[in-house]
Amino acid sequence: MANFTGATGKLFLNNTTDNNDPGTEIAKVQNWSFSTSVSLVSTKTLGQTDDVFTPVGRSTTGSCRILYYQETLGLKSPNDSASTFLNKAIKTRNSALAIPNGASLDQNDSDSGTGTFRIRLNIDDGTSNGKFIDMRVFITSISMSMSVGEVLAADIQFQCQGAPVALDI
Amino acid sequence: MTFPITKTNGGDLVPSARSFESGDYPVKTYKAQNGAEHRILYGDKRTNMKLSLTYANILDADAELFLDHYDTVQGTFQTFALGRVGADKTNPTRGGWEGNQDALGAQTQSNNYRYERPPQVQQVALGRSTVTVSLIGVL
Repeated sequence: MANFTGATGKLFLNNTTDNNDPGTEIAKVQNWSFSTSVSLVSTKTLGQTDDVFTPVGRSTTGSCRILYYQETLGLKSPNDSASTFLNKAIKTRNSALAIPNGASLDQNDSDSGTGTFRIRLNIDDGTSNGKFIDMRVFITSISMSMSVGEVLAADIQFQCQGAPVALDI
Repeated sequence: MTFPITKTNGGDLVPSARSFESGDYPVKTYKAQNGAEHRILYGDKRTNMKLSLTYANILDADAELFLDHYDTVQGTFQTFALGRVGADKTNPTRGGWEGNQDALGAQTQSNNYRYERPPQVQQVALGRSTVTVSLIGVL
């Protein structure tokens, strides 16, 4: 019998539309989690005593915490760090003109068709691909806070666009 | 075509909510100058009973039955009976009612139902709709 701990967890990020490519492994992930909920509607009728339901929808959300780091002090963070996620959700305005001036909401510059990007939540079980759930997601929340005695990290929440792309878990 | 009481894939089509207003006898009320009320009874049959049925989250195919029936009876024009099913002749529109079946009916007073207004269909999810039907008993 095998159990898995945080030491076997990985997070991959893929900006392409290639579903066979797991993408780049994100370094320094402290945790990831996901949650799937199924929405039901009642089909109970008069005369029935107990609830009867039918499923009509499903929603998958998740979160992760990624450390913000620099491989070499003073150089921009590599693309496997929290910086990549920050740059997906936070953009500079389109021009320096006066307010209001928006910025793109596209979170995947290489796939503007969907605006989403793909992540893989992975459990390394010793096999080539491990166990995983792949989904195309939007970042719905990202937050960072700097404080004494704490390592700078990004808390990211995401929502799955449609059903997961691939699943082996 | 009878009023929809059977699902397209079998089984009784039972509402999830029902309200019934029992109507009234044809009574004309006059007020005299001294304030006294005078009532004249013009008939011996109660009429104008109103039956509202809600079928929540049913299959679209079942919701369509109500639209088809509404068309068959030419909207609010023709009257119809609600029908019964099975050996015990139960009426699915009265599902859950443990009182006398006739109490919610129109036919005991020689009435028949017609649509008071068009059925309302609200799509609530993929393949699922909620239908509200308003019927009125007429002589």
